[in-house]
Amino acid sequence: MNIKKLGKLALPYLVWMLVLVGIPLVMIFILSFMNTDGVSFVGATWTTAAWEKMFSFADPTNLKILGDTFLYALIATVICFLIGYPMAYIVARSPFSNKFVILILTIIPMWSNSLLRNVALKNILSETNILDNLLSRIGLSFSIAFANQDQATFISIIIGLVLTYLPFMILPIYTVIEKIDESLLEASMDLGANRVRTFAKVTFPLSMKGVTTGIIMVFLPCFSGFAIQKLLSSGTVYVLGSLIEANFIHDINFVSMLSIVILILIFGSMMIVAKVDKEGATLV
Amino acid sequence: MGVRKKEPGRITLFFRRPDVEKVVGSIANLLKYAFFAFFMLLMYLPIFVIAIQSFNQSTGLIYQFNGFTFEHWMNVLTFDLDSSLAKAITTTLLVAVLATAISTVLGTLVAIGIHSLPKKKRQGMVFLNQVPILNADIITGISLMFVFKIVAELIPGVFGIPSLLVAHVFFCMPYVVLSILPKLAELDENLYDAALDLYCKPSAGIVKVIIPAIMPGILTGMLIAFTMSIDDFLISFFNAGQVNNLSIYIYGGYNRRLAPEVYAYNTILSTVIILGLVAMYVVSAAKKRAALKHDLRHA
Amino acid sequence: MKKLCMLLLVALIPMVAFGCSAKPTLQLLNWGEYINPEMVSAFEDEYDVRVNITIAESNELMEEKIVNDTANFDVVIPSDYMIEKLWDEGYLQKIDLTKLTQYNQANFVTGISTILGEMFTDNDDVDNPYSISIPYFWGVFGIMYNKSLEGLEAYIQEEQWAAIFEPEPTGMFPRALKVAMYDVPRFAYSASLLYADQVGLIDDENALNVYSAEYLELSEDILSQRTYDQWATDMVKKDIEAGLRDLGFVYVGDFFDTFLILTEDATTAEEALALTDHIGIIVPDSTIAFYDGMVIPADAENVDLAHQFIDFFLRPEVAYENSGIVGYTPCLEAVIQMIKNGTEGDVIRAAMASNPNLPFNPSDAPVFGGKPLVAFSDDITSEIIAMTVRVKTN
Repeated sequence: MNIKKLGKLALPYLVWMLVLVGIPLVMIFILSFMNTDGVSFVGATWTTAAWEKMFSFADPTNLKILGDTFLYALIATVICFLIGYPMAYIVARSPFSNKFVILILTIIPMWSNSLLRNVALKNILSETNILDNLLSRIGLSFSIAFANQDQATFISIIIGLVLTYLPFMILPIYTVIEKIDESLLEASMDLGANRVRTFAKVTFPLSMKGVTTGIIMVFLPCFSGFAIQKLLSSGTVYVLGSLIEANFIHDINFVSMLSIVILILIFGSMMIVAKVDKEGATLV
Repeated sequence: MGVRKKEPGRITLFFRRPDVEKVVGSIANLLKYAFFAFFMLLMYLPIFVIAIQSFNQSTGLIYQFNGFTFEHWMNVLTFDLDSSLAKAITTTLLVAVLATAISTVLGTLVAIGIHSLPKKKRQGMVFLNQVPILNADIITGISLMFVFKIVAELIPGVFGIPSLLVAHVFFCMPYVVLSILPKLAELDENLYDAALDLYCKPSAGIVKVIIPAIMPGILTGMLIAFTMSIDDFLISFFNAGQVNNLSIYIYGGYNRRLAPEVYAYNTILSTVIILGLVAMYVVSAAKKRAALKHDLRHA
Repeated sequence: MKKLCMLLLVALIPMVAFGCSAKPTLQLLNWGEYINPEMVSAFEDEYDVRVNITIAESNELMEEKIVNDTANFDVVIPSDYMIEKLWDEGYLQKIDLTKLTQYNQANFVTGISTILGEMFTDNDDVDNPYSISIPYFWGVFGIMYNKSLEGLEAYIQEEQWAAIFEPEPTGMFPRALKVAMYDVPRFAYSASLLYADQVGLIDDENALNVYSAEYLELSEDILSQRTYDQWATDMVKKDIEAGLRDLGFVYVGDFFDTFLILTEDATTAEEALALTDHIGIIVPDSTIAFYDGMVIPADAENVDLAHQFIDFFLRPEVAYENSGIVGYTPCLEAVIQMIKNGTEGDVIRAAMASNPNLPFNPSDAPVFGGKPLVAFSDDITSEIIAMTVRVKTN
């Protein structure tokens, strides 16, 4: 197996990552157990105050935020999958001669500035909006009605996250589906499996790696980001990312702790998946 | 495969009639493309709104259309921009193109390397690779800034385009690696072995055998890298020194009167790319058709 | 591939050329869209220099740029509390007032004198606050509202801060009021204490600059009295103008900005007032005041040029042109007069500035009740942030 010798290509990356990720990570970990003035260690003392601030049952605010963050990210990822998988599948099985061009089209919206995009989304989802303003001139109207403020906030955030990160689900799934050998599907059909069964037993398992990549690429930014949640809730919803954003100037120790919590949660769940899935088929 | 064969019922038989199958098939097709088009349209909604704003006389109050103007477009097309904005746009595009190119090339090699490692080491590398994607931008931005500050002690003048570029390569590369790994997993390794058996150098083996096989993954990674780079704000802010990119410009001015040209610039960028893609599609479709005809004639 | 490399190289050359321009370059750290580019060009031409503007989004991000020392700046334009903080931490140098030909303390409006009079009071090495920073623009905080709801204007005039912090009496308006809060924890905290002093919950007119566990709890109770539909900074004025919110706690500059945007096409004063008759602003008797000032960092490389730059923007005609782009209230009395008189035929700004109902120059009020905020320590600030997070989340 000659390919095994190519492992050395990863070595420079290991060094690069250890310097740019490893060292800062160790520093962040240490900072989370200290009380420092900014990032200088002068006059710093050891304390678990930051951790207590997070995991305090007397004041569950931060735990509630953690739960909310997880919920928004999870729902958005599930919906992205439910919409993104069929979209990737449709393109992969379509007769278009250059399918990749179609896929690039899905990601073009992300090349516009994110603040302008999110404000545009907030605009459309508001009772008074620019589309309505334009359409009212020809006697039409456009406005999305929500039952109440809470519902409006929740649905707006999910719509914002899904529409933003959908391409990150479609692209990796497409790259694996596109290459699935047609003869496998034919074989399955010949053996009497119907389309649904062929999909469930052949296509879907073979596309698992793309699905995993897609889920990671959507879930992670949904979980650690904050701009969409903040803007589309008019600032009434707090997520972990907003906590980091609000505190990073004044309390670097709390922010370090939050980053460690995010990393532990995500990697913890990835480890569990890796353990359960013995062959390592889902985790690359 | 334990598929039970049973006698098809009447309803099943009805759907298996060729004429019925054809109708059902075309309805299903229609629904499929309608589904795709619907969500595609939704993803473009914000872009439509930005496009509308680019023709709006006044963009200060976002909810109203105050009258049609082509002025913002003209200002962008004739480069009649405030110099800070012009510089910000140049910086953004330059850094995005360079960072994408560098991170795609390096990310491809790294992904091949990671793929070739034994399982335990491979998983470790994949986890490490995920950290920058997962870390809040602020954390990544500040971490990089401290590394660059140390570098700046040795090489003054690091802060600016150089630090910005390295920072962008840093956070783009993990996306490239992540996009390529699933393609590598389905790679037939015997091909590479065969190439080496035929006296290919390992480098030639990579270029001629592995890269063509993982091309879709590379392209996906490249697209995502460009997407992440062109729109980054926080990591750039901490590592830009005295340079502004477009995000810094927009976030800094949004509260006051943001130059309406940014709407026009964003719209022009998307329009040009979309038109380019459509042209590319038409050309490649025409070529394929010609090739097909050619083949038929000589068959 | 080769072509691509060439293209990149060609693109790189001008970038490099930018860097090695022979002219001295003044490095300015400023908010976005907060200076008139034409005036910057005029300065460049007059002194044969270049000006490079680096943009920051907030006082805190400006602080990061200065403290982390990833770049040197010659002039920076932060707000009052940040100026005090940067000075205390040793990041600023004194401005040599003798080098400023245009400087005369008497030229500034009375509001500025009041605010600067309260700066550096417990700092012995600063005998003249103007030698630390030269005021650039200033203003106060107030309540912006949409007039479409009948009776709202009178209600706010009567209730002042209570209109923001107390739930309105049921049945007073046909529907529940939609209220926006300014999304900077420190401002929300201080405003809630101004309210507490106004309604007599406490008797401490300096409460806005005091921190104690007791006040923090009080502030949390006050902010929890009603549910806010919005916590934001830049979106509040847009949402109130569009009628998505009824009233909100804003910086008055946001109101004037909205006024100028709405009247872009107006040609007469009457037209301008008609276009803006659906929005209003009320400044409570005691409120938060602030100014943004030009300062010179300790590690500035072009100190003389920095003085020339500050002096240039003190010229009344330059400050007048500058205020035309920025829209906020200038600090020089002469410039405010020019705007009120409609210099260069600018009847719109004249209508705005000389309208007695609008606080364009807040120090025209019978009693000027604006107080600047002092800088709190990081520990206190993070306690206040945690308090507003609790209010929003629970």
